[in-house]
Amino acid sequence: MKKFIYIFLLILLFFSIKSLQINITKISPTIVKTNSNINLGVCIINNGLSQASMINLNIYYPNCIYSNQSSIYIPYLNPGDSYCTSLNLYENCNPGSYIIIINGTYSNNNGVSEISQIYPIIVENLPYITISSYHYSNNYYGSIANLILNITNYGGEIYNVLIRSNFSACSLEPSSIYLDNLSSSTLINFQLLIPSNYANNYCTIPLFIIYQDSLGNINNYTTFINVPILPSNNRLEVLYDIEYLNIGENIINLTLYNPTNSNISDISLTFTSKNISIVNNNIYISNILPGQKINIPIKVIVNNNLYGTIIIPFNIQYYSNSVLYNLSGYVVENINAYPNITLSGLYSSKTLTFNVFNYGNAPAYNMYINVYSSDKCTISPNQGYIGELDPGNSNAVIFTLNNNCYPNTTIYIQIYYTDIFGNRYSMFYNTSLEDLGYNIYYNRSSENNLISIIALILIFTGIIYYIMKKKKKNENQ
Amino acid sequence: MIVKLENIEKVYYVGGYPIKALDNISLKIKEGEFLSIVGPSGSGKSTLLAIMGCLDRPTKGKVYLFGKDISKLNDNQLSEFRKKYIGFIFQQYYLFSYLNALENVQISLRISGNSNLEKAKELLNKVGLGDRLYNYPNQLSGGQQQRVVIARALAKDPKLILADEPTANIDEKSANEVLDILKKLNEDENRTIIIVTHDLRVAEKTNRIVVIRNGKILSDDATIDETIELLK
Repeated sequence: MKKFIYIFLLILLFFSIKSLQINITKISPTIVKTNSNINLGVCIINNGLSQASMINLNIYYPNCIYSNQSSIYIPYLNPGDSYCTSLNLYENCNPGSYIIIINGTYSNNNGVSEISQIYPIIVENLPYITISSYHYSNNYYGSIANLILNITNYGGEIYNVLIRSNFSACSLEPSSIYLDNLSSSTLINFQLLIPSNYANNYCTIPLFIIYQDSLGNINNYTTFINVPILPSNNRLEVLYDIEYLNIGENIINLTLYNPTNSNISDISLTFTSKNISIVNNNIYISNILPGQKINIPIKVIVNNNLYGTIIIPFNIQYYSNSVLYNLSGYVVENINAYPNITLSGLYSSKTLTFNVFNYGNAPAYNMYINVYSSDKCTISPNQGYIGELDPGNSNAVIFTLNNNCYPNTTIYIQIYYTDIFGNRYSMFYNTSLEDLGYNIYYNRSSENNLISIIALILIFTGIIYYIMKKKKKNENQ
Repeated sequence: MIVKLENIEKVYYVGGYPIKALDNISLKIKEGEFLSIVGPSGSGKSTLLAIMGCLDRPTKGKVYLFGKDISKLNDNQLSEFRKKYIGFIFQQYYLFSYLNALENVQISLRISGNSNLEKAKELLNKVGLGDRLYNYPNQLSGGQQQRVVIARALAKDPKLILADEPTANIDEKSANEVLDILKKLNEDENRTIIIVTHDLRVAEKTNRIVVIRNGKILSDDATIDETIELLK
């Protein structure tokens, strides 16, 4: 029995000693462009039960990363204490993955121990795509025009590039072209089918370019190509600018232009949009003189469920030289609507629940939430995938906490998403768990402390037992 | 087999996206090899060295060092393993500026639990610094400081020495001296030496070249000509 108690005590003491640990943590974004400044936060925390002293850490940087700080020395760190410092770095690395190694030693009543931590730095040469020029020919109404686009990438190489357009009014043939990669400029050829009854004097073709960047991320880039249509006799032209419309009331300035040498009369303009309301629809104009331009402010109301690029079709009828013309056309506009993401969290002793809300007017896409802690508190998984979050919707992500997460533990939350135009957003928060609000009272004592207290009680009991046993033996003798 | 890597993958989750620093790396290194891992900047070679040196853990795959599966070790055990068996040489020297060469090596002996401080002299003699024992780091050239670092790494008596760009900050003559010392440690004492470098002149001096690019091994035993071709 006595032997069993001693063995048990030794096991407990062993666990108490092993609980001593120093962690180095990192708090900083790790993806950068070439030639960037990086701020790196490093915290050293003594999660052990005894004082750690002579903590000497060296920081090993790759060739292309520079810093004026190469080491950290801390004379001592009491249990539960932490020391934080920030490193200001500059890198001029080629794209790729790099690591900073923080490595060193410290002393405590268990002898000299080694610690190390790796910090990844990912350098990416971001692509910069643009349609640098385009050329066209045979661009008449009712004809098939030749269209040559000069697509240029001024940034890092991109792969699996798909250039497509799904616009039906002035359609492209083929509707999509695939390129293996794009690192500089390339010319691509399309045919542009211009309908004979097309009203606008421009073919405005939305182009979607979907590509994979050097890190494998799928991104997209949206742009417009405006191909003018050459005037022909007896045709009315409809002119407008592509703008951003706000939710609510807006004015689109439409211009009707008579490029012919004849009067154009009895003009009626009707919009047939289903998802946008036109206040002054069914417009009638009695006469447009040769060479005259008439500005018509179209009052439109954009509902708050619309986002992205919208196409407003219209029909126009008129008489020229006593001939009735019936044309159709489109007004293409962008909606000024974006996601607006907020976050609320709830903390219990074992779980961490985040509710992500989209209070904005447009969906957020490809949304991720990363959660991590600055010390021994382990949060799993460290990433939650939300995906698409539509406006007015919310999504809950639940994380599990280990036993080393306390109310005063600081956690770091990063949310990443893109909007419908392909713009990428990131949000960063840090907070203590208790500031999140928690629904279950959490006792601060840790598992390790508990083991130590039990160990001390048992040691004390063992000693009393041993003394009493010895005393009894002496009395018997 | 002193190092055996099986289908190692290292993924960093950055900005919500997984980024592969190492992609399905398998490699076997026998005891007593003098080997270099060559690749362009950012190719993942230092990440690979960090995994072989127990400084980091892979996301996927298995790492066997000295026949032991180190994925089963906890952080404390991993740190002890590193302390006992692996010596590191980095391109930065990080010697204590207020200690002389002898004291810098002695402090490493103390850390590794060796009380025979006279051994520091022996180690410094071995790296050709027997006449510079009492010089402070600022009284030593870059090459000499790197030799103190090698002596410091030897204080642990490691079977495996991992060197990350050990000649990057020194002139060619000193670099050759450092490489000669490493080669001698390999030949005379059968220590396994793995050098990570982007310098083909360094790779040329080793007995085996592993070529890495974009986190993938392109060849695990290339000639220098093949290496040049692969890195074009």
